[in-house]
Amino acid sequence: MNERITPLRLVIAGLLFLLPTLILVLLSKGSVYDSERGLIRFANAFLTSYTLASIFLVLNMFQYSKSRRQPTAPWVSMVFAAILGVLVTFLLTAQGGFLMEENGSRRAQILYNLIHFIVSSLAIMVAIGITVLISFVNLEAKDENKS
Amino acid sequence: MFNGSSMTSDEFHNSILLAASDILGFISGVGLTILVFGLTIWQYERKRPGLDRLPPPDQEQLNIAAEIVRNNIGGEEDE
Repeated sequence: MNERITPLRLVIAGLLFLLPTLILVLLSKGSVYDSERGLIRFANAFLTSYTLASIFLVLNMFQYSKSRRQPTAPWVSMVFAAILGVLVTFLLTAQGGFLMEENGSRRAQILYNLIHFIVSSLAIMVAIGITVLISFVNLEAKDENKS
Repeated sequence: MFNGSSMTSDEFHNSILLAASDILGFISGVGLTILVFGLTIWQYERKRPGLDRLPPPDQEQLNIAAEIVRNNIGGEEDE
């Protein structure tokens, strides 16, 4: 019978899974990380996910305010938070702006960010799905003889 | 040493770290949104007036509650 899977074992399994990639990254000592590009990528991912998640949560806030006799304050605050994200994105993706990558225009950059967000979130969801399904493999009937 | 036919180790090294920046940005953005969402609700709930103190239940209400508990908890009698 399998023993119970502890969180420590899961962490070790995760590290083993990442080990080949980590070894390759660590052994390429001569490589220089393009930190400016990394920072721009981080900022783009941050702003895109912030803006999209804010818009999603504005809809949730409507539901919340409905349950509280429809006050306007919560969802107006959330709308401001979402607008802030949109404004910052527009400001920083101007021609020659901080967030511009190898794209020709602001519209192209924003579209690139959106598609990047969709692909990343799908990848994360698939990874979570695979992890959950793999964990089901370890499910088994309770050993009645033990108790 | 690790260069492949379609990708050099430098490119791989950079791609992995860029992907890490991407995922970190993604998680931070969603995290900040959830924080803002929580703060908004917390601010609103904080300003709401507290619930008035309710009087203690009378005997009739206690009987109704006992009836509900009796109907829902307890299970079958042992034979």
